[in-house]
Amino acid sequence: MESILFYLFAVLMLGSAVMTVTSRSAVAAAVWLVFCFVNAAGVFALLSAPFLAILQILIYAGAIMVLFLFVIMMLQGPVLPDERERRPWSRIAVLVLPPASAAVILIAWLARGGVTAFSGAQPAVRGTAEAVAELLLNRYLLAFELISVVLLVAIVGAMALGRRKEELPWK
Amino acid sequence: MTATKKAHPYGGKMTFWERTYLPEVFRGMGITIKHVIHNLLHTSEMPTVQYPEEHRSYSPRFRGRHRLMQRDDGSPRCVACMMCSTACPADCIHIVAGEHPDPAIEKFPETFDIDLLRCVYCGLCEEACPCDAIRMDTGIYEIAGTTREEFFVSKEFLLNNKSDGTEV
Amino acid sequence: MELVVSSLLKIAFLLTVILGLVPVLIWAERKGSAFIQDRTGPNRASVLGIRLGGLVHPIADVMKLLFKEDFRPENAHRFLYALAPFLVFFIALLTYAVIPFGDFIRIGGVEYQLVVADLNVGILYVLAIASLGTYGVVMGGWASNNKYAFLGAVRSTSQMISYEISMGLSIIGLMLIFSSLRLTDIVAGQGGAIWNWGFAMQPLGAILFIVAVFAETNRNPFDLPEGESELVSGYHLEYSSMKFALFFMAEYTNMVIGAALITTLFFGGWNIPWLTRSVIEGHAGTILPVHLVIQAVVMGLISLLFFRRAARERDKFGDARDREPGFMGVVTALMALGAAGSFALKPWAIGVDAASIYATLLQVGAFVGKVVFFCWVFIWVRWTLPRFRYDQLMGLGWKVMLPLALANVVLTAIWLAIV
Repeated sequence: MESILFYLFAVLMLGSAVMTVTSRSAVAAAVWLVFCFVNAAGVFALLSAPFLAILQILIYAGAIMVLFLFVIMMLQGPVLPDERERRPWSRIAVLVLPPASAAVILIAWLARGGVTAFSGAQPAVRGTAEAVAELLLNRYLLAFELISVVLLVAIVGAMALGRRKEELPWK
Repeated sequence: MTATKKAHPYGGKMTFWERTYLPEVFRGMGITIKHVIHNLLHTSEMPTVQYPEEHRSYSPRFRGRHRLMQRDDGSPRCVACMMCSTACPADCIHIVAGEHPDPAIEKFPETFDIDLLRCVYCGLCEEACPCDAIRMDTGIYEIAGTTREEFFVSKEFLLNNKSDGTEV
Repeated sequence: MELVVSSLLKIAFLLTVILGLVPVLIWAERKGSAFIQDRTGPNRASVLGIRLGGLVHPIADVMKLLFKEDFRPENAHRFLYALAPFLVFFIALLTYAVIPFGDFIRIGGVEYQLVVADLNVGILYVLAIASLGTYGVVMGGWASNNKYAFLGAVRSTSQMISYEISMGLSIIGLMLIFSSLRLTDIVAGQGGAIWNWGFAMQPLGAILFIVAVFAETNRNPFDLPEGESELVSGYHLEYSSMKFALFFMAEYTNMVIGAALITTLFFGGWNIPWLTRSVIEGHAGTILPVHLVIQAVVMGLISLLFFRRAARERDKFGDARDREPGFMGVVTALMALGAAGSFALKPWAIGVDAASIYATLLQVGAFVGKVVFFCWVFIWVRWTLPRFRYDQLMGLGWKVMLPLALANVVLTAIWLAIV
């Protein structure tokens, strides 16, 4: 049962990832990416990591991709008929990408270690909210806080870069 | 804070509690629920007119569908003077005048058609008429039909349009 | 196998309640708005003269929508345009999986939990699914290739992102108090006295959450994605026929979810104040007869009112509709007689198993009752308040609710650390 679900999610994930790359319109690509994230969440859930699965949907599919879509739609606006023509390089991408990804999978298959198939559920305790909180807020607290600071710096930096020089508060 | 600085309820700066929205929201909800409860308990007092069954009574001066007045012998009072069709801003009255057999009366309308779809029910024809031949006092406001031709009413129709709303 | 069967039964129950509530809510919206504005509201559609105060209108609406043309605008994105309404409705229904609508039902000595999926990250699941809800709106608005629909979609995205954060933060205080993400734990923790409910423990969190839920469900005063006065009707402008009906139903389904979430998190879920399961089971011999007597008396009074009306308005319409008060009187009188007649089954000597099932039924009834009440609050607020201006909406979300939610988290943590 779990293997069937795993392969289902995996195939859907890969398929939607391919669709993300080959979609003609940016909005459609974003929607396929969301579908890809949802399937990734399904794989996480099968690996007994419910917390991670939910966060995958909540943060990536629910927040970040909504922002992406927002930006894409703001920049692009409604589809106009002439914008929907296929661009020549996407045809090349369609020709090149499937063989390339097939090659990656083949290499991964040849270089596989002991794992030959989906091995099923991991111990349930590892993926719960409590376990993740234990790791993040006790064992790796410093690293976790440092990453938050890095992100904060990135946000402030982005705002500083995005504003005009004379608007900066220290000028 | 002095009395002059106190915020006006519908303008100026909002007070702290107004800026939190919540007390005002609850006050508004109180008002609406009062209406709901009152209307639930007094359904018969609802001002709604249940239209096809009930009709709103209009003032006697209400301008409804036109009618042509009759002489005592039943012929139209109209003398085809064209005052009404001249006064009509919508140009909806079409009269063809004919010679009246009675020498005391000069003309009579051979046809007197009104296009009810063009009519704006302004009442200027009534005012223009020198012999009180056209009136809009029928009180009929339910003017409906399935084809445009039905709204092009003739002299015969208008002569039989009674003020009590019945059609003979 | 048993798990599958019991899950299917639970899903069937939930779907019946939710999809049954949708037409009732549409009716309540129309009738409630009418009464708030001193109108009579829908009262025309009838089946054999039975109008049920306009409750037949949703059926007539569905018939109308079923036979309408399924229109697709030129240059619309074919796939996404068709997908959007289904996605909206599907995501709206997904949330119910984790909402407990009772604690358990004991049948033949086996206890079945009354929740479809008791996830240990239940709250996060709810938030995750709620955050996906915006996609249907965005897709519908964008794929229609219409400026107004597109503006509705853009508004919906920014509004969802802004209010999702305060929504998530406002329930962190609750998670801290009950120290669990599992919705069944949170509901069980609210048992007993009424001051155990989340609302009493987290008043600020409850207010913030309710406001955020209003924003997330796109209901007035936050219905800017629809904003019919400025955007015609927003994101579902181009939709017709059953696709429009799906958007419409999804709005009401979302409303039921919102109400169910508010109930579950802050208003005790299926708990009845002071009447815990052990109290009900211990005193079932007293509670059940009292319950039956109250039901018989109330139903009898209602049927008397109907009969009085039937006598008064015998010739009001002059057609089949005149029979309605009499018919309703007979139905309510039968309900009263049923309640009175069940005294023949000796309710004061109720067995242990039956008492357990009775307690479950009371709890499920309490849950449904609370949900219906909060659905009414949604409608009530909609017809009371005007719509926000867009900058006010963003200002409220980011400058008021977010700091308040953060303060609530910190204060709760400090309070928990001290106590």
